[in-house]
Amino acid sequence: MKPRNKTIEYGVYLGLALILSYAESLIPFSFGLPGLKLGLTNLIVVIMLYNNDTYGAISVSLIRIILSGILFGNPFSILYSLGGGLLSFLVMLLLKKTKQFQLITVSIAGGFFHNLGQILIASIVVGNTGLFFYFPILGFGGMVTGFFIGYIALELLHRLPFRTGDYL
Amino acid sequence: MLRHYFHKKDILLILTLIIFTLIIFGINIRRSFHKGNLAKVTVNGKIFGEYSLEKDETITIYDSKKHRIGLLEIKDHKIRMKDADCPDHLCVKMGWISSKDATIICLPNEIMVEIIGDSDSKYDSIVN
Repeated sequence: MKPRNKTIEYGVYLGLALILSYAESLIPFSFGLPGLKLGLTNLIVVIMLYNNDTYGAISVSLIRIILSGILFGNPFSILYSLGGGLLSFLVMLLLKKTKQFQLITVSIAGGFFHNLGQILIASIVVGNTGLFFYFPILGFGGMVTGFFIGYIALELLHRLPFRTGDYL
Repeated sequence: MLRHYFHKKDILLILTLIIFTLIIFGINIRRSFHKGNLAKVTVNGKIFGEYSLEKDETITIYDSKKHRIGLLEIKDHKIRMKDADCPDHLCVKMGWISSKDATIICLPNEIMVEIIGDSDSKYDSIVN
């Protein structure tokens, strides 16, 4: 089998993730709720994770957070996104490794823990637990967006010409 | 259709997450009965001022360079960020708060509004 050219592959994924970040920053999808976002870039992470490229997924995720923070956000948004992104990635990786859960469930948990991670980091920065007043809506919101991201990722993985097929 | 995507273990995991969220929701409802009567405003980690929620007023927040960065409104023992010059306006969307420990934060401007003080300790705030 021809070895994959990882540099090109990661470049494409990173470019896609950045474009999705930008698209997301244009969509006023907050429904008046603080901090609720679609999490479109999670699509790339889920696809890479289920294409059995754990290191690629975490690398692209981290570089994407730092770059989009510099491009569309501020230093604080990088910190919060890192908290959410890392926790969500670790949870998704662990759940996937158990091989007990479906892709959509893993993505739902990812969305949930992304928002939990952000609130945890923000609470540490702020130094009190007042921000957990926003947790119920963000937790449910993360699960709903996680469901749609998982569904799209599953459909894409079925259709794209990937080698591995063990994501169902 | 959904049965195709969710098996028994998936449902269990999702239910666990929902129950966890509902527990936090319950704790929040309990906490929301506990009203505060003093709002502490910090900018860049430095205390900007403390304001009693007993009196209706609007407060303009300035940063260290004397730029206006936010406008607070106190009304009916509640406080909100009425306006701010940050790009996302998340702090404005956070709406009214009145419970003890409830917090509004504005990340770009590093403004934090925190409700402190019990309703029982009314006399302290009058002294303040």
